[in-house]
Amino acid sequence: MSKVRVLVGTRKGAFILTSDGKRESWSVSGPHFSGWEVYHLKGSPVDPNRLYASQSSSWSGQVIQRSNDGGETWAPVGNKFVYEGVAGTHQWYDGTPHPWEFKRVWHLEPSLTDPDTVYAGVEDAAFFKTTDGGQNWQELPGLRGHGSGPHWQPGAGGMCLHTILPDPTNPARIFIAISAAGAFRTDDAGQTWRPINKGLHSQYIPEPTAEVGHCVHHMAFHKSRPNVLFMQKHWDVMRSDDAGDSWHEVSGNLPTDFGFVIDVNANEPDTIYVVPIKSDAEHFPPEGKLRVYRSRTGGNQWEALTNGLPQSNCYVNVFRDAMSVDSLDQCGVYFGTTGGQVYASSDAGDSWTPIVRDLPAVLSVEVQTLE
Amino acid sequence: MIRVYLPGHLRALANINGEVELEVAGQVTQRSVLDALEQRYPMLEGTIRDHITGKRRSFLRFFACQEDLSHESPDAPLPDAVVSGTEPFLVVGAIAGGLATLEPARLLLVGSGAPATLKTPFYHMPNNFHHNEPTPSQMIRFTNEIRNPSRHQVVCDT
Repeated sequence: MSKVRVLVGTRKGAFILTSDGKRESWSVSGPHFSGWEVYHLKGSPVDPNRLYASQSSSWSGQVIQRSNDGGETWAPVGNKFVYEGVAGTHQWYDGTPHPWEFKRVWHLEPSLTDPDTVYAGVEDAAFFKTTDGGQNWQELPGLRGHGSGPHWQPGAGGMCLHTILPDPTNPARIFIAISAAGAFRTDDAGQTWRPINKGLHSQYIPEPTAEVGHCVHHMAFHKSRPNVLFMQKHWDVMRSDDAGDSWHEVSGNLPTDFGFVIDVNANEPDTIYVVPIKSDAEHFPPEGKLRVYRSRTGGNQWEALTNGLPQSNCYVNVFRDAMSVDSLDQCGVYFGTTGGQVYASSDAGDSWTPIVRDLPAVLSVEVQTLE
Repeated sequence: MIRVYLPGHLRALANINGEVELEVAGQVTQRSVLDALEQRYPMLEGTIRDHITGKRRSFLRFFACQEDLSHESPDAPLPDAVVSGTEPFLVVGAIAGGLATLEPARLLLVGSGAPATLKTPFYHMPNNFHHNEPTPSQMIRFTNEIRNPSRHQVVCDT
């Protein structure tokens, strides 16, 4: 029988939630790495018991943890993230040059084909890779070396590379996103990159349609159709049908086009999910109602999903890496909140139940569907 | 034998219970002690000193014999009491504050993660700690405040 494992990173440790395929009864293990921020943890698609976790703190910096047994035990691996060559500068919030400084790993993306190969998206934005299970990390400097690098600026959360999407149909192609530089694509396995931001419009930057400078919050695709990308931007939900070469807005009837998460139903490539949030200073759901919005048409037409979600006095946020889906026949959808709840739907979003209610603020949610 | 006491989050990372006892060859300095510590516990590399610069991470401090050694040269000899093992070399995690009124004993416990009987140094960081380290004079003032047994309360400045 299938099992589902939900990997939850929080402000104060990691938690692992497991259930059988019915997804009715859940066990919770953790906190792992208690007291540390766990920005992200994720399992290898080819060896689901191989997990990687990004553990960090303001006191002691970055640690990478690896598990070979599905999270039962963990061991620290390499934590040395060094920019290649002269690090150079990017723009600071006030537009002055600021040296590139490593702060933390935001996202770990295990390879689709090799459990020892993992990509890491870091702050200040750069793209790293390990091929020995996390012992050693090397920057692929072509991304930062793109001519626009000195003009990148941090978003409110820092200048983070937070999204990594390897194309399952083309091993040389990877999509990434940086807040607040925008989206980029490589077609040669990370050696060179180009911005893919045509069609994005950001009214808060000096040149609203600039090649870089857009605050992309998250991106997602369906693995069977990686040329169709969906994006939650600082403002606007966007869609590309040509692997990012051009984008058009699909915010449609959303109550607010601001938010962080976006994900795609594992069985229906045109069914997508977002959680609208009020911009800019408030960062909580409009009207105090926590609503997931689902489009079954690849955008523009959206329906509010509220069954089981608090519809009054709810003022949590849902961070950019805190939504994921399983791949069971009836797609499960999961998201975590800054209030420490992890909500799950086993019916593609029609109804929701909190798996767990009182964790530390949730930073990331990843789901593994296990046979 | 050199005794090293780490903050709780690093003891957990390295799976250490209590103090670490290290043999240190040659002169006993911050650098030689931390080199020996990292040799035995490689997972601590980069968590106390920056990987690239080798400098102490900003939110950690070094103390021994009730003195703040954080701004001493990493190659300066450590006090004789540390060399002899009479006193531990302490790596202490800073804590951030806001306006608070707390009992000194509680502060000692929270600030050091160590038993209060160690008389472990402690310091308070101002609210803008993300950008500024406290100055040595701030540290000494605050440390003296919490050591003064006549005071029953300490008000953290913000």
